[in-house]
Amino acid sequence: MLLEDFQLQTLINEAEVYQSQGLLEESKEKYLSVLHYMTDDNRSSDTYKKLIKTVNVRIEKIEEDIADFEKIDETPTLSHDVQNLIQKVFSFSQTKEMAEVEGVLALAKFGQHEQALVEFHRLLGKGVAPGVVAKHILECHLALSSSEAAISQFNQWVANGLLTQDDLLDAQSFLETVLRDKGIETSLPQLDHTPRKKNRTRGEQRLALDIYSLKIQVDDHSEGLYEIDFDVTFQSNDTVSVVIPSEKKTLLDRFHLGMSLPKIKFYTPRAVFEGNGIVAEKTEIKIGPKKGDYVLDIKIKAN
Amino acid sequence: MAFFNQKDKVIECKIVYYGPGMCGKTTNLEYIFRAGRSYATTDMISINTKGDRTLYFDFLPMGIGRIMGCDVKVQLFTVPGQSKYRSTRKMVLKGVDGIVFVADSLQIRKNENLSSLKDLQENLAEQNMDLFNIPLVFQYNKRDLSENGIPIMQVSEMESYLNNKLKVPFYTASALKGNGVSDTLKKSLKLTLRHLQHELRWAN
Ligand SMILES: Nc1nc2c(ncn2[C@@H]2O[C@H](COP(=O)(O)OP(=O)(O)O)[C@@H](O)[C@H]2O)c(=O)[nH]1
Ligand SMILES: [Mg+2]
Repeated sequence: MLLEDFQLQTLINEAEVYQSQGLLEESKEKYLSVLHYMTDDNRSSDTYKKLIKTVNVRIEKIEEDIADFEKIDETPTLSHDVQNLIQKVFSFSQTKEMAEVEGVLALAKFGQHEQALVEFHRLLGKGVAPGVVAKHILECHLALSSSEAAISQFNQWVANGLLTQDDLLDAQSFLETVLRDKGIETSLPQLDHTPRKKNRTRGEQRLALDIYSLKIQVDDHSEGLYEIDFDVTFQSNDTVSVVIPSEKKTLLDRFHLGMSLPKIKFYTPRAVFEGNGIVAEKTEIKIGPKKGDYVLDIKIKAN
Repeated sequence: MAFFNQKDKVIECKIVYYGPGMCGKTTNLEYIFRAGRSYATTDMISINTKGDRTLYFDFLPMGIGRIMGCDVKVQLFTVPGQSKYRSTRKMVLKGVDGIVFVADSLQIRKNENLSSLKDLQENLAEQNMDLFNIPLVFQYNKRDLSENGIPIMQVSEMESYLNNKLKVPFYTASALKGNGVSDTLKKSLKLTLRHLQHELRWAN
């Protein structure tokens, strides 16, 4: 009898500690083993009857707590401060624009789709990675289980010309696939399938970029040799893109197709390295907030 | 992937506290925040559910001061331990530089420690990182519970089922009382910074 009391006490002690540690399943199991441990003879004694009652009450309470935890809102709306924090600490790219996209994507991943939508629209308004951002906007609508909103957003883009034809086609095929998987029948507007320039489909760019800025030597006849810093906006394999604003006409004129650029400094998070490059493309941006600016593609050549 | 600003000589790294639910990760950070308030650069931020369970993460940024000519900052994170929050753990692990694996010494949580370690290995692998190659420290927590007559595992038992292949440094701890918390963190920082120094060659 004494030994039995001691063993019951040990079980109850464990059950209590586990409960206080938030280990609810473990605690419940210990309480259940208290009940199992009692033999039929001792069940009838008054002390044990009381104990059984206490243990049953505790088990009930634990079961309630477990049920409560299962009911919690797994994607609560977070405060603005925390949303800002998430954007800041979950962006890793050294390229400012890509880091911004990553930060907003993190918001979406943490269930903050409403705020992510606001932020993605802001980025799209600034002309940041339109192809990528457009798809994320559609994803946010779909995550908020609003296929209609996604469709009407797409129709708006078709009408307002904020996206290039390539980006629209990308967004359309993305949306069509998702809707088809969901078994939703709609007909999206017919788009003009002009030949796509494969090398500028930004939707396929990887987000993690290595080179975040460049220093290029420019030989100015009047001022001599000087260096200019550029932020890299995109990188794919051995080509990086930088934007030259339309105001900097003289700077723009210094670069022509096929021109070799010696001794470029490439800044990466790991190191700065030097190499040569060649101007592979120079294109005017025809649409969106950066309309009129130029994109310079620089192909990096191994030393 | 630590952030390294070459121009201003600032290095920012990320250490994640990993481990099964309720093993004491948040308690570690709370203790660090209380004891090392002078190093904390802002308040600790916890995204919890009711009952103080971590839903997304805890976050505590700290400034360590200058090390080998660089201003060193560290972000401490915890993950939610329950198995259903795997995708959140993957998010929090992004860009991690060092890991503290908090194992629960309670006998009854033996299997949970192992599943959590496997989960860590898989999640690292998904971002092309290797458990055997990342700065890692074990902490065997809740040692104090033996005083309450609760069955806990011997250190040798924990070493042999968690750390016999990895062979990384370990500390015993009672995070609730603060024992072993700062030793664990210091070791993790040391390993992480040494690793980064090698990778980034910041102290050239
Ligand atoms: N006795 C004891 N309890 C601890 C210790 N560390 C954490 N706890 C308790 O374990 C429970 C879960 O801790 P928490 O830090 O929230 O765990 P997490 O899920 O890993 O973040 C809480 O009730 C803590 O008070 C410890 O060293 N000793
Ligand atoms: Mg926690």
